[in-house]
Order: sequence, then structure tokens, then C-alpha cells
Amino acid sequence: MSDGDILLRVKDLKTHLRGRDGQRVVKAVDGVSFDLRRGETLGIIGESGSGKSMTALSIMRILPSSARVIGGEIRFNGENLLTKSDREMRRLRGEQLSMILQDPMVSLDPLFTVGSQLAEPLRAHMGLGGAALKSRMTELMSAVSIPSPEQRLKQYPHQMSGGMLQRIVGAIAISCDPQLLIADEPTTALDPTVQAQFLDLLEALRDSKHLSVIVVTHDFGVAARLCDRVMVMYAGRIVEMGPIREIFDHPRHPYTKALLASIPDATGAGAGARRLRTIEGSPPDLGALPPGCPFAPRCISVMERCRRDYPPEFRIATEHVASCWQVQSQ
Amino acid sequence: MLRYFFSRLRLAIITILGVSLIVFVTSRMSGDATLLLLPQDASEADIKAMQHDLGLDASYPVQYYRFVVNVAHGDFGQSLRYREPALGLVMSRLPATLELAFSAFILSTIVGLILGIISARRRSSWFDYGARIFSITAQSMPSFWVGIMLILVFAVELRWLPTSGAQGIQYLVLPVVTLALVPIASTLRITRSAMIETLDADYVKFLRVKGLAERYIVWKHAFRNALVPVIAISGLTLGFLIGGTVIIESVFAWPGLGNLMVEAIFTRDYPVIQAGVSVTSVFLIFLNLAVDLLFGVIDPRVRFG
Amino acid sequence: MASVVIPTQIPARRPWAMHWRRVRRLPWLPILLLAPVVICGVLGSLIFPHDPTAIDLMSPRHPPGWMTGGSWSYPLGTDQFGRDLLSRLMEGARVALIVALSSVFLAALIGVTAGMVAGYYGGWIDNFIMRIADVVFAIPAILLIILIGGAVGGGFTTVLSSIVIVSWVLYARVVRGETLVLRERGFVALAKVANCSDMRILVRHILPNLMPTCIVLMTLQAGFALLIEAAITFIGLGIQPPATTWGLLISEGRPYMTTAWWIPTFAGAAITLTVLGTNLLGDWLQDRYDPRQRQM
Repeated sequence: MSDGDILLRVKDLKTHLRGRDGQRVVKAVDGVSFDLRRGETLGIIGESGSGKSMTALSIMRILPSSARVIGGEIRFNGENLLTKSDREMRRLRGEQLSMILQDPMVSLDPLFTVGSQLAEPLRAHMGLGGAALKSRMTELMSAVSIPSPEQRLKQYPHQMSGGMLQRIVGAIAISCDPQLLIADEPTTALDPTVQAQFLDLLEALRDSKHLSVIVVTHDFGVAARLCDRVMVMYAGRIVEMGPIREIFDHPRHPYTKALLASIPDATGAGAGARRLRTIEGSPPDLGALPPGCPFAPRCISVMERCRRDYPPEFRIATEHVASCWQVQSQ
Repeated sequence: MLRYFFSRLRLAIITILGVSLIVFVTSRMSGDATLLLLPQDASEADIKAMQHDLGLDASYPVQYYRFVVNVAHGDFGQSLRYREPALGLVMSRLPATLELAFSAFILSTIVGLILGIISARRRSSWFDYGARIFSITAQSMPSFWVGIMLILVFAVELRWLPTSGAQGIQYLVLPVVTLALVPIASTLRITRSAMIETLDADYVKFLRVKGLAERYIVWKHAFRNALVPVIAISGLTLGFLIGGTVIIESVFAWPGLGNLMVEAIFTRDYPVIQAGVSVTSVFLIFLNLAVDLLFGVIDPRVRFG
Repeated sequence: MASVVIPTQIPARRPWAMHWRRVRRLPWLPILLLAPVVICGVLGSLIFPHDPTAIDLMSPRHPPGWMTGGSWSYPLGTDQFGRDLLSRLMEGARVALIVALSSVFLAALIGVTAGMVAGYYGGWIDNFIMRIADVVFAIPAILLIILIGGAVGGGFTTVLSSIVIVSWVLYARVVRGETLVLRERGFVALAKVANCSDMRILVRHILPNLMPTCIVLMTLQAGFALLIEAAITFIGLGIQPPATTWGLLISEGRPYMTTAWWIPTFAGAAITLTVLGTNLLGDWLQDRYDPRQRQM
């Protein structure tokens, strides 16, 4: 694949958090590298605390004040986002990079109408006003299938249902035709009945606007619907990455296997979300990681070596990699 | 919105009635007024006659009814000391008190907001810790003591400002500053925590995702949201301020309502106390109603439930 | 590809900020501030350097020991009658302790009961109790106290009942809110299924869950009680001489402001430091046990 095809290249990204007492350092993202091709949909899968959301926030560079990117590169269209000034990032956000957050109810300012919040990026980035603004907003509202847009735009967030709000959030996210859309747990806060509809919408938007998408989720069902490739994260690192079909049919990392095994119906087909059942043990303390593989304490096929040395990436197939000593010995 | 207004209005009226009941009940607690007004050797007949004149021989509900009717006509009786209608006396002193209270309110709101916003944006800096130390100390000091200390320092030792009276702007400074101290502290704390909460909120994150300027986000969105709790406590603040003027006017010999009432305590001039408390409470209740309405304007969740 | 200079460390908090964190972790500052009051309250006259009422006309208006004209036998100075200020302050501490503790317990008793009943039963009881609370709350505290005090005169009982009448409302409102939430919890449903009487549910199940909030409130209200007491005394409705309270020391010392400034100054400082102690303690308790409550 040529470099021109690659929209986003992340190399060895490290993001650290300062713990609550101001002393401990938590390695939220600990050396993550991946590529995203144009038009591709990549899924980032993991439990909470795996670092998936932090990765997304690091790319957008909207980390909380206690977090800082301390190493690595994020190349978007060839340019390193980590060296950009605040002003440059501000221009990129909304125009080129966009994001959907988890809970639509808190994604919007409760004191302002939905319409005014939709207009904001249009005014700021595209300089639209008056009639042009209005028609663009109506266009966007129909793109996310919201009936009677005029009326809806005058309403306030608390007057709408979660599903409708998330559609509006989606409309805002794509309003300036970004190249990259990150969806952070887009359906987790929605009613199960509405989740499938929203996934449909995401799919349609992606296809019609030729978006490249990163979907952050803990739900394999969502990944199966939307993603071409997935990467599985654990304790701030990628443990396995590959095409969705390949990962489903031939998972190689014990963690991936465990995740898939905990799904009641693991065929990966069909609509509807599937909840992850928890795996034995608890997620690691990211402020005090042991040497070696962080999954070792919970791994059913753990070896002596696993506790000592962190496994590097092993190539299984052209596009399929996994970081596990088991893979090497096979 | 109209429905919201009417429900708050109904609450206000019930509260006013409740206050009138309290005022009535306490006045009957002060012992038999007849004995105060008559000479020591008055006969039984005289006492009975006086009681009838004062309406004290009727049953309590009837007395209350008459009381309410009188009050509705503005009749609180005569000041025992000044021999004038109590209400008139109270109303003549009210403007001076309001001058003090509102000046302190404006000062404390502006200063509190500014300090709170700066503290929130510079969390954990010298400024922030200093502001919080100031807040908690200010809320621990008795207001009249602060007044006395300020007089000691600024009026007596440094001679920059006058000690008491009300003939000009310089007379306003010390009492207003003393009065505003505690509300500055509480406004500061509320603003600071509200700003911190809003700046960490998800919708602010989303606003940043949209690529909007930080200053725009802070002033158009975060600040407005932070104002909501501040407005919520402004009713309480005003209540505190008006109560505080009672004490502060004593310290600074400010010719307002508070001073009148403290005087009335010493002279046992109960009609004046009654009138003063009633007027102040009703005024506050309506002020709070206005604050509630303002709340409805600012926060659509309140308007459209 | 050249790698970019990114700071390799998140800047650590400044060292004094860490000290502040540690300070906040143990409540030693409030304990330091409150210990003298409690000690004076408990040990009382055993530790007064002088009899607070002992008049010494030979040494009127002596300044504090470290100033010229003062002596260390009267470390904080004397008043116009030659009474030792330090001893009077200590006596005042006793009174402060009694006033604070008794008013807080009484107000909490009334307020928590009212709040629990209102929150648990709802309906017209809730409405009734909350309307009363609204009405009491609508009148500024000082004015209500003037209203009552002007009618029945001053003294300890007036002070105590005034503080209680004014402060029960806060407990009632907060407790009502929490009871509303607790009422819906699983353990209450279980208790009902087990045929527990309402009273039992309230006392054995709901009340313990209210304790953290109540303790925080009581601590903060203790300081409030002291401030109110001082204010009431200042306007003449409070505890009367010859009893000694800090508030009285300030108002009695006021005419001597220029000639014996230490009297009102130290008395007021005593109040400030004690209330500061309760406020800091209350804040600390709130951080520890009730982090979801909004700070005021």
C-alpha cells in the first residue's frame, strides 16, 4: 500500500495521566502504533481502562488537564498533529477531524437550542450565514433522517430523546465534511432498540460522505457491523490487530479469544448489540504494571516467559498481528 | 413559562401568609401589652377596658384576622417610642438600608464572579489557594467584629475613612465592604466549583471537537452554565445581606432600617419590630420570586420542565 | 523521520502544593484550632490562670504581655476592671462549647426527624413540613431572632431556641432529599417485605445512611451557631453579663476600642479561629465521606 492511501499513521503513541494524588503516573496509552487507510473503518476494542478512549482523545488532542501525550507521532495526511499549535489544531478539528462522544445528553449545552449548536461549526469553519446557513442545516438534518427539521432546531437538548440527540450530534460532527470521524462508544448510551438504527445511520453517512472512521467500542457486535479491521487493546497497548473476519474466525491472542468466547452467540452476524461478559480477574492497575505481559495474571495459557518479557508483535498473516509469546511458539 | 410563574407566585403568597402568622404569634408571646400601657395601680375594670380597646379579649383566630386586615391596610400600630405609625417609620428608613444592601450585593457578585472564574481557570495556583483561604476565613469571621476591626484600622489608625454616619460616598465604603465580605466568599466558591464542573463537562469536550476557540467556549458556554448556580444562590445572598444590614448598621451608625430595629429592641417598641420584620420579609419574598423568574429565563430546563 | 520534542514529563506539582494536599489529608489544622476550646470546656476553672471575674483595680487596661506596660501575669492584657483577658476568653470558650453543642444537637434532632418524616411519607405531611420550613427560611435569621427576642427578652434560653429555630430547616431539607432517594433503595423494600414497622425502617435502616451527611452538617452548623450567638449578643438579646461570652467581650469592649483594643480584637479572633476550625473540619469530613455533595 502506498503512503498516499494512508490517512492516519500513529507511531508509538504514549499518553500518561497524573493520578488523583498528584504523584502516580498512569500509563493510559503505552506505545500504540497503527495505520488508517482512506475510506477504511477501524475498530478499537477493549474493556474500560484499556486505553481506547484515551487513544481517540490523544488523536484529537482534547485530553483532560491531568493527561499529556509524552511520546510518539500522529501523522494525519503526512503532518504530525502533536507538533501543531493550538490554533492549527482548532482549525483541523471540526473541518478535518471530528468525533462523536458517548452520551448525547451531555454532549450538548443544555442552555442553548440544538439549532444554534449545529450552526456553530458551520459559522466558524465555513463562514456560513443567513440563507446559506439555513439550507445547509436543513440538508444536514435530512442526512441524519430527522423529520420537521425547522421545529427540531428550535428545541433544547432536554426536550429530545437520546436517539434523536445522537443523530444531531452526528450531523454536527459531519457538518463541515471531515475526512476522519472518530466514534467513541456511539451507541452505548442509547436504548437497545435505537442502537441498530444509529448504526445504520453511521454506515449510511460513512458511505455517502466517504469518511474514514475509527470506532471505539467494547462491543464486538458494533465492530462487526461497521469495521473493516479491528485492533484489540489491553492495558494501554495493542494486543492483536487484523481484518474483522480474520479476528473473528482465527483469534490468536488469549485475551481476544476470551473476549470472543464470552459472547453468547459468537458468529458475529446479525443486528443488535452483544454485551461482553467479564473475564476472570480484574483489569490491571495502570499505575503499577508488572514487567512482562500485562494480561499474564488472567491468561489461561500463560507461560514463564510471559511474566518476564513483554511480547513483541508477531505477524500471523499479511494483515494480522498479535503480541503474544504463544503465537511465536506456534 | 406562565405556568411556572404562577406556581412560584402561589408559593410566595403562601409564604407571606405563613410569615404573617409567625409575626402574629410572636407578638402575642410578649406578655400582656395592657400591663405595659397602664399605670401600676390600674383597677380590674381599667385593665378589662384596655384589653377590649386593644382587641385582646377576642379569640385568637379573630385577633389574627383583624391583624391581617390591619396589615393589609398598612396599619402596624403606633411606634411606642416615636408615637408615629410604625409602618411609616419603617418605610422612611428602608431606602438607606437598601442602598447598603444592594451596593454590597453588586460588589460581592462582581468580585466573587471574577475571582471565582480566575480561580477555576488557574486551578491549584497561588491565586487559587489564596482565594480559597480567603473564602473560608471570611466565612468564619463575625461580621460586626470585622466592621469594628476595619474601623479601628482605617478610620482610627489610618484616618482614611470616617467612622460612622452617612453623608457621602466615603461613608459607604467601610460598611459595604464589611457586608460584602461573606457573600464574596460564597459567590467565589460557587462560581469556582461551577466553572470547574462545566469546564470538565462533556459538552465542553464536544465544543472543542467542533474546533471552536477556547475563549468563545469559556465565555459563551461555560460561563453561562456556571452562572446558573450563582443565580440560584443570589436569593439566599440577598437574604443574608438584608439580615446582615441589621448588625452592620449598628456598628456604623448607618441611619437605616436595621438600626431602627436594634433601637426598638432596647426600647421594647414592638410595633416597630413587627413592621420592620414584615416589610423586610415580604420584600425578600418578592425579590426571590424575581430571581426564580430570572432562573426560568436563563435555564430552559426550568421553563419547559 | 525526525522525531519531535515532546516534554518527557508531566510537570510535577510544586512541593508546597503537595504539603497542602497532605495537610488536607489529616485534619490537624482544625483539630489544633478546636482543641483549646474543647479543653477549656472540659477542664473549665481548673486551668484558668486567674478567676475570670476577679477584679483588680490596680491593673486596669493593661496591654498584652509582649507590649510595653504589659506583664506576663496577664498575658493577653486586662479590661477596664483589671480582669484578665485570657481567663475571660477561656471562660468564654466554655460557654461557646455549651452553646454550640446544645444548639446543634437540638436543631439536628428536630430537623432530621422532620426531614425523615417528610421524605419518607411524602404527601401532605411532606408538603406541610416543607411549607413551614419555607416560611421560617423566608425570614432572615437575625430578623426572626429579633422578632422572638424582642417579644420574650434575652438570655440563654432565647439564644438557644433562636439558633435552633433558625437552623433546623437546613437539616430538614437535606435529610428529606436523601430520604427520598434512600426510600427507593433495595434494603428498604426488603425490610417492608419482612414486615418491619415504618418506625423501625426509619431508625434502623435509613437513619444510619444519613449519618455522614448529618455529621458534616452538624460540624458546619456548630460554627454558624457561634457566629449567630455573637451577633445576638451584640444587639443585646443574648446571654447577659455577668456571664462571659466572646460576643459580650466584643460588645463590651467596643467603647474601649481605642484605649484597650486587645479586648475586642482577641475576642473576635477567638471566634474566628474556632469557626475556622469547624469549617475546615466540616470541609474535610465532606471530602472524605460525602464527595458528591456540592460545596458551598
